[in-house]
Amino acid sequence: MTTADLSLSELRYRRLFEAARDGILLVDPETRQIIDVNPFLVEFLGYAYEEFIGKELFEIGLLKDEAANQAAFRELQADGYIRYDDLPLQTKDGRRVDVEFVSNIYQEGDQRVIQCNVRDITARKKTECALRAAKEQLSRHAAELEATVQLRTTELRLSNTQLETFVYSIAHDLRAPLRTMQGFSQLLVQDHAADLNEQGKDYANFIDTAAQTMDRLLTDLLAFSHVSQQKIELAAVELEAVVKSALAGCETEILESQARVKAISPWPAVRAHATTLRQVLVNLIGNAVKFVSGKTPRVRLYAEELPGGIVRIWVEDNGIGVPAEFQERIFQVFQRLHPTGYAGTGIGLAIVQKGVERMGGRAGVESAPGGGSRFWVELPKAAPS
Amino acid sequence: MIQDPIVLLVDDSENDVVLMRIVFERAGFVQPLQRAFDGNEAIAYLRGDGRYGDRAQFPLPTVMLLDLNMPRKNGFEVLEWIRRQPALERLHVYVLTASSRPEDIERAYHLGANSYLVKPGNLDGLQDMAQCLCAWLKLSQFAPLEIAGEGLESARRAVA
Repeated sequence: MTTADLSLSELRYRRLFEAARDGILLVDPETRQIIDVNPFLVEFLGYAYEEFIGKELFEIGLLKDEAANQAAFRELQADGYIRYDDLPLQTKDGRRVDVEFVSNIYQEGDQRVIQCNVRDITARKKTECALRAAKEQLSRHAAELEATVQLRTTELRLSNTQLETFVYSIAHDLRAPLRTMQGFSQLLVQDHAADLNEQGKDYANFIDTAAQTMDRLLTDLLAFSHVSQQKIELAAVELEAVVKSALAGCETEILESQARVKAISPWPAVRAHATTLRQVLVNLIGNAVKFVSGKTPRVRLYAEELPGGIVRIWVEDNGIGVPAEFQERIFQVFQRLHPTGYAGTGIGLAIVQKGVERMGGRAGVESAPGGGSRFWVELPKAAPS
Repeated sequence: MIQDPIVLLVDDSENDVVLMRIVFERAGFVQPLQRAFDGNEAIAYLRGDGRYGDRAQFPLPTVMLLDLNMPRKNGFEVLEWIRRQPALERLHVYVLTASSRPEDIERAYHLGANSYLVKPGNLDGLQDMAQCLCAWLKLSQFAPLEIAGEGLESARRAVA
């Protein structure tokens, strides 16, 4: 470097030194005394320039005691570098400030010099403190909210349990007089046939039918209430086993209707509740073999894997079909499209939808009148174990 | 050796009892069904308290058909009491109730019921059940109960 370059470099450095908005100290590594300090630090700490020069760091409140001072210098000598992220300092007029303190040893010609950079982090610390306080308050609020939610959930669960118990006890109590109506109306017909003419027998049979209908309504209502309220834990379920079990559960209806039912592999595993899923399938298969007119019922069951980890279970039949305008309504409670033609309480599909909903899925139908129906149930695919 | 098993029906519903008696008779059951109309009566019957001391009229049962939902003392409490009496160890208790709730079934078996039957909702079903029970009772071997009333814990103590 030429003298001119050196002067230029010196000038640049000096400008940085003077103008910096961080404190800079130069310290003699041998004497440990401050040999230069920049205007920022002078202003920041409130001491005059002369009060810095010749002092050791601890004398201006940096690195409080001698022991710490010596230890710091030893580290500096050894590593050439020392850093304190958070050092308390006191200004001349007693104010407490916090600084980030970094020190390096440089070779300057044949001598070494220590340069210390001092950054005021007081404001930053205050902000951090405020942030922490805000965070804590947020946490507290969140915890309170969480506690409230828990309380409400418990209350809700309790009231749901109460609801189920309520529905159950009402249904239970209503079924008792039904047994009486049904039983004695039939005993009338059976034991007193001689005293009854045809009309008398008919009347008695009407009572019998009505009582049995109401009893079925109540049992279905109980089943619906149970599916709605019971605690459901989802787990990986092997579809093949559940399908087989559901088919076994429909054995009577299948035999009576002479239906041809085919379950087609492959069957992936889904995330569901086995008992509920079985009930859902029983209801769908039962419907498939029931709502048929003038032909042998043919039912196909299979699974389709859709993108996004969804499995769609199809139950296809060759039955009477469902007109488009009723395809949503049939899933509602006690909705029957054909009250005269086909037996049932109109709750089977309501149970299907409720059960599937509680397992986090969806149900629906594709159909045209006379062209059969394709009922479907969507459930998440089970995560690979 | 029991020739004709005695059945004690414990049920608070008059109509259900009448129906049961009819279907049992039709099923060829010779011995009349004995009856207690709630839990306290059932225990009194077994202990031979009051009028139940007349064992000619109120013989000790071999089988008890026990309803669950009864006022004052329900079927579960009766079951608990029965299973505390060593002398009643041989008594068959078949729960006969309208409830098909899994928790009721579990609790009944936990308390020592020998069987759990759900009341059918119609006469035909009831008739079938009676026939089945009668055939079962004919098939089963029973050991007679041999107890004196005082050998059994008092009903009042059972409440505590």
